[in-house]
Amino acid sequence: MIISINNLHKKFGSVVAANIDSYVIGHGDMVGLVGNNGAGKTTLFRLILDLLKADEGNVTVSTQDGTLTDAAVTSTEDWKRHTGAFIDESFLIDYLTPDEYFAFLGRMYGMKKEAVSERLEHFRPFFNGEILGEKKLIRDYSMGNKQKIGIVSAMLHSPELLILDEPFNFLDPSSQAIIKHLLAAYNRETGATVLISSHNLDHTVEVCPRIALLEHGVILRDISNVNGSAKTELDTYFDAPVQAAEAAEATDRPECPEKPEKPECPETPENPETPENPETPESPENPEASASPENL
Amino acid sequence: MLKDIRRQRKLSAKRHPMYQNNKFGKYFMYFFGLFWVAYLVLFGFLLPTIFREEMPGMEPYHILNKGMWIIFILDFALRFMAQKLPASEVKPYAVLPVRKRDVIDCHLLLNGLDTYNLIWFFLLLPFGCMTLWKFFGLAGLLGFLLGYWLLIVANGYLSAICRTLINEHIVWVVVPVLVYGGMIAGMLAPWKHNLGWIGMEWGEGFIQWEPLAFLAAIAVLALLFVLCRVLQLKIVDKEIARTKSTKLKHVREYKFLDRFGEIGEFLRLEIKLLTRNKVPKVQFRTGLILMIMFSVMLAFSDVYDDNFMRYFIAIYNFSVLGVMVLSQCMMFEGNYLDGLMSRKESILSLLKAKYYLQCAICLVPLIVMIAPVIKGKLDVLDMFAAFFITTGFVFFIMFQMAVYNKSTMNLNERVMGRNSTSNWFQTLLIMGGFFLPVIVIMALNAIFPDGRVSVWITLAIGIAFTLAHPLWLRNVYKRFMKRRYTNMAGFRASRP
Repeated sequence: MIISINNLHKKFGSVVAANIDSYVIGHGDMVGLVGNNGAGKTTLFRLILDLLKADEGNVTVSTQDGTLTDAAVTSTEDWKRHTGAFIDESFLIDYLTPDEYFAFLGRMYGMKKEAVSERLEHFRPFFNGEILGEKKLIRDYSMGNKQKIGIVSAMLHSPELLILDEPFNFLDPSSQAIIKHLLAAYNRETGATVLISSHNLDHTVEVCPRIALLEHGVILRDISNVNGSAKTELDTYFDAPVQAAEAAEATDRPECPEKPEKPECPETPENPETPENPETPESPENPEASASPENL
Repeated sequence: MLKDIRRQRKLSAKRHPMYQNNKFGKYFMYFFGLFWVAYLVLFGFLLPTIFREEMPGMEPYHILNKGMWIIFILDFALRFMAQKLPASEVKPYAVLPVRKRDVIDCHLLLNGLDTYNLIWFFLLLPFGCMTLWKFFGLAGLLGFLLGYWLLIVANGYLSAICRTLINEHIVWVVVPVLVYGGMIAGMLAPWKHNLGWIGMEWGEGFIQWEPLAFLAAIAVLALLFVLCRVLQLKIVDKEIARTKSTKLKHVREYKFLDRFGEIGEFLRLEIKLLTRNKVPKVQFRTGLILMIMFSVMLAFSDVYDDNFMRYFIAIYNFSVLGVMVLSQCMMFEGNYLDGLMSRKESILSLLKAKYYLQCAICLVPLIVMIAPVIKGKLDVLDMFAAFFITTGFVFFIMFQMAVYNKSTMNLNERVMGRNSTSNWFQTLLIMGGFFLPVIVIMALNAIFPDGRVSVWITLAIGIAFTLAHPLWLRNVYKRFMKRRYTNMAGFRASRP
């Protein structure tokens, strides 16, 4: 599925949650959305899923089979059959057991019972024997298991577009490893477009060949991530405030008295990597920073 | 700590999302409170005269004291709806360096000192001024008020004990039934020194400042405080260390619904919503009991034999449950609406499932009302007219709530009283749902002297609306979709 974001703006009061002039995600792209808290990752997902009204602009989608071409998500519901998403707990009907919930979703997407069971088999290692056939309501599961149920519910009908908000949250290390593998394989084998957001740079870099760096609703960078090449760039960006703070601290430190027996003061870096440094990422306020694939 | 907890309790009520997003609910509660106060004051002034006229051989305060138990029963009923339990408030303090028992003590103390406990003074003060002052002066009045206050505070603790136990298991409903039922039985007992007599003597003791009367009241209060404290502590410990088995014993599949496709799936969801969540379950049960109660009343009593009341009760009978449930249409779904909205037309199927379930439930009064039909109080035509006007017109009105409701309702935590979820539109539609069909029938009756004509017209309107349900449900769905962003924002903001 192709997703085109066109002149998309959303504000909550005075806070800008989305400010994207143009951004296109192509068929089979796997994009990781990274950014600090309040960057607008979840808002962008909600706007794509038509769960939130944009102040301006729109999101259009085109399906692989050609049934939808540049259709605005606000104007039709047809794209929903091709989409699977898990943003938060409000996607789960928590008074059902996981089996009931998957059966319910299966029927919503026109899947037969056998097809649902077969699909769930695929996720058995991810469930780790804690979810299926347990006769337990979703609300009584741990956060980690709820997360697993949510992720699988989004992938159940093999959607052409998969959107997962913070899929690694609450998962134990083994499950994180499994889900990384599952997502990469899903994208590779089905050619589905996959969008995930995460605070965990390592996981995102490991899984996503394309990474969008989002701050204050603006896509600052659209990074091609070949063999983890984006890691350095992202590390530099996210470390910048720490380095700036350290530099400022070093500058403020009083000079050492000249006493030979004492060790020398650490040298204040001459050119600390602050946001002003041209080597460091652009500040969110910089409108030039808004990126599109053409800028790559 | 007492001061901090008091402030936090106030903020907790004030900043509850439902309270913040619902100005109408807030003003409705103020209005209801004022109405209740006015009622109490009115009775405070009226009762002395009524008592003097009805029982000239006794002083009015003796009669009131004899019936003090009725005040406690009413007080219990009011508290049951609104009061918060200390145990549910203690969890946030569990890991702080304060003792749990101190926090519980603070909550219990604040419950005791709550100004709500003074609400009965709106009745007792004018009553006391009119009946006690001339005999006992200010001292007598103060003793009377102080004594009642002690007993009302004690009643508050008793009410908290009952509610805590009922929250644990419904079987504990036997405690208030025995205690308060015992009060009524004790008052009506044929022997001389029954509970009424005890009340009269006790009240007289307060007025006369007899130490024994106050000691007894303080002893009851202290005993109930201690009992309540022990119980709350146990519940808190149980809650914190809960390793409950959350597995269901039996998972019902309702396989017969498979044949109805997507709507069948949503019907299954509706049934599970009503059976697996505390708030909808209680609401459904209450509606069902009311429904059966009215059918039985219509069948076996002469209370509702005039034309207006007969029609009203017949329609009320069919629609009470539907109105209760549908006035909150989509509010429970607000908990998981984002998930539903990310699937095509799922809301339309959900609305259809809700409609069919409510229609199916209407078969219950249809069966129960066979009794008044057999007894000749209602004929078959009346019954079917009421049935179809409900499934058609009343439900048509109530389904409009799906478009306008935008607050999420907690599925398992009852938030009442100060945190009411009602809004003016909801109230208006409920009134419309109940009264409009009756007004139409009465108007038709006035126009056509032959009563049968109006019933036939009502039946025709009902059938027309019922048959047209796919149209108006789609219209509701389309309007819901138009308002979806506003509604979803509201549901998100009020989600617990």
